[in-house]
Amino acid sequence: MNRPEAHTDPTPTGGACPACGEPLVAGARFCESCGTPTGVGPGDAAGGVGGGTGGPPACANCGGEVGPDGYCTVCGHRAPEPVEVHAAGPAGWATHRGFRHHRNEDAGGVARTAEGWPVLVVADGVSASPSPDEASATAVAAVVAALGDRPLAGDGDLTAALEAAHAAVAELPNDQDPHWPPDDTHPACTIAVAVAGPTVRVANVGDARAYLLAPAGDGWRATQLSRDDSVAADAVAQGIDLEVALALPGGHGITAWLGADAFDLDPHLASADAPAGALVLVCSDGLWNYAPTDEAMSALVTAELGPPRRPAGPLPAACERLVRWALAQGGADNVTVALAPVGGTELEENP
Amino acid sequence: MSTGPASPFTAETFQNEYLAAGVDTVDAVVTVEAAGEAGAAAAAAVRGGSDRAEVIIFDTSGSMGTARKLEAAKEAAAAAVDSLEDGVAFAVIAGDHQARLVWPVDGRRLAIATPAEREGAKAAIAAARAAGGTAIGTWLDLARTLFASSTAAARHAILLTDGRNEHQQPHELAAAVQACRGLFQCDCRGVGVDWEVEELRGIATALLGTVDIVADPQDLAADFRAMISSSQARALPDVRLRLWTPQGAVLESLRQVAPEVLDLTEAGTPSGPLTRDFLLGGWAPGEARDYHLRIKVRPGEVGDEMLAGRVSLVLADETVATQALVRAVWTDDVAKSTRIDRHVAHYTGQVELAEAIQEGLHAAKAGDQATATVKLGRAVQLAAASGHDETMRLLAEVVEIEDPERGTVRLRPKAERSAEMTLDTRSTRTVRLGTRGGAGAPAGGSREGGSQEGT
Repeated sequence: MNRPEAHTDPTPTGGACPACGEPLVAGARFCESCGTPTGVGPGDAAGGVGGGTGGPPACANCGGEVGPDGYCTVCGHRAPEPVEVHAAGPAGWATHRGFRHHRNEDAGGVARTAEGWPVLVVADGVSASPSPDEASATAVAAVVAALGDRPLAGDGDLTAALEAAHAAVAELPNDQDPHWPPDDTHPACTIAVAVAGPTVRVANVGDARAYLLAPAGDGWRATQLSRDDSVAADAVAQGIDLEVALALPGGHGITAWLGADAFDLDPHLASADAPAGALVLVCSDGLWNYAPTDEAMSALVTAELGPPRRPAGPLPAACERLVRWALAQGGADNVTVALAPVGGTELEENP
Repeated sequence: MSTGPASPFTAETFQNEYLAAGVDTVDAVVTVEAAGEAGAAAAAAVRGGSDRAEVIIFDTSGSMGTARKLEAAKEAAAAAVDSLEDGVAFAVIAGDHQARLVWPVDGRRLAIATPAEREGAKAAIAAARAAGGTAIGTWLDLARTLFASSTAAARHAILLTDGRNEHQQPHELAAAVQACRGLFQCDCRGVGVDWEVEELRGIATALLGTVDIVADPQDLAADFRAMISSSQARALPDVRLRLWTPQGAVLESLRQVAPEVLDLTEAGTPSGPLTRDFLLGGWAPGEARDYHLRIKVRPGEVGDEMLAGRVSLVLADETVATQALVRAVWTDDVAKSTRIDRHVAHYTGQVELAEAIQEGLHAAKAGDQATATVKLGRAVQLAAASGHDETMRLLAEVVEIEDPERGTVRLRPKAERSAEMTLDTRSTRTVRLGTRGGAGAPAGGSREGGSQEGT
């Protein structure tokens, strides 16, 4: 078969192919005869998640043309998918597979209570279980159904919503994942939910997180309201520094999750009175692993969201920026971020 | 998977796409299945008998005059002629050190099967006499000339011999075979025990046909009828497998692994910058064949996913009937990258089984009993493990089996020559995964073990 040598010399447009000598079509990036790159653009225009301006998208690996099935027609590399962004009024969420997992096992959702308060949900499928993507999608759908369009009485509603999610995930079959040989493990996921009312209410199981973002001068102060069920969090509870704890062997291991083989469900509940102009952020560990402390998250949000404004800027776009930031750090995990302004007032401006 | 109800083919990939960092070799089994009659009817199918051509070639060299071989060959040729549907274009060739056209009398075109033409052909066959040597290449040359005069979509020949290609240089035969490639398919049969298995297998492989031994001349007529019948069942002519591989990739091997092992690696011809086509010949409705691909790629980073191969089934009219993707995903999860797909494992074993038989028989022939015992013992072990009962039966006629699980065997000192040749000829036949009792292959996916109840 053809096995042309790689080369680096830029070839004059319309010249001859350096590998096989066939004449090149003017502007062609690849020899039509043997497929060797000609060294002609778009190179710099290529790559980037969700990039591309007209014409067939270019491969981030070799600059070749990406085919309709998402694989480069020259080097075969799968093109990174665009960041998936969802808007619900000024609230929204965004998600991406990242670069090291073969599928996106996160799920996200935004709803509103009868009072008009945003409900943010993020679930993260446990990779060491069958059908984790189904688990997270099922859990999010159950929480949205439990809290959406209903009045919120208090923390009990959040507990009930997570119980419903737990029951729904526990019913999923454990032998439907083509990537997981049948064994005695069951679909599982972590979850965090926040209701962004005047009192922000949060519930979580596992290590998906919810933060209150309070305006602080020209920036933001992030406060984690959820509590991780993780080996690292247990170590922190015993007095070890968080960054040290995360570096422990198995530090990222979770100690609680939703699903049939979970321990008794015991969601962490938290609430906080929100200052004016505050936001709520819910995310999977694909984001917070790169900003594990409140200080790091405050700095990140300040850098990516800019100074606090009223009303808040378009939050779906801010979610996308945070996801892209995590991808730029390496995208080691699936990344999902949801943001909403606290209270119902801003929502009415932009239904 | 399937491209829809109207497609005449479906294809499915079985592989463990997960590779450890730095690993560059991707293994996959692609199973291809032709749809039933309805699917074939929608495609570029053969349109009735008039769209078929058959050439029957039988050996009339001097040695055919012994052991009633010529009589049996003539009966078989006549039976084949009787099996032709009306309208099929056909010819009969008698071969010795040269090729002679038996029917039709006018050698410029093929006869068209009618009751009268069939009777004429059978009378001419009956008049054939045994004399002369063996030059198979000349028989193929004449068949090629006859097929070239036909516009039939499906072109098939039967070739019967009882001896070696003694009156022709090997390169002359090779050139004749090469010239026929893609023009017609040819099933080859050896009668008696004085022919060369490798020689006939080479012709049959290149011309996309089967090869078999007919040790007893009495069985020839039934075999010829069966060959004509399978040929006339092939509704989809000239199917090709088109393989795309990424730039810089190397096709380490492409083998048909079921129903028999056929090495296609070097048989492809380029059909585009990154694609090449492999001739698969005609397909009958419902027919299934499996292919094992091994592709070497430039390894990606952990987390990268690459398309390592795209298998397309291309019909005679260039329609792409179906596709299957061979993927590579690099991971640092050892639990994923160390798994071996059971289809890949099964056919790796079947290919090793065929090789062990051929190498063992070769060693026995050369007088190297130690190697023969080891190789045939390994073959017994593999046949036992995969439940290949037919091959096990043939092996038992050549070796005494003491412990099939451990592959402990002793060569039979007085094994029949016909038993060795039968084992050799049929060594490439494989069993598909899950043809045995309860060990059925799952409907989809490539999973180890299984929690389902046995059926």
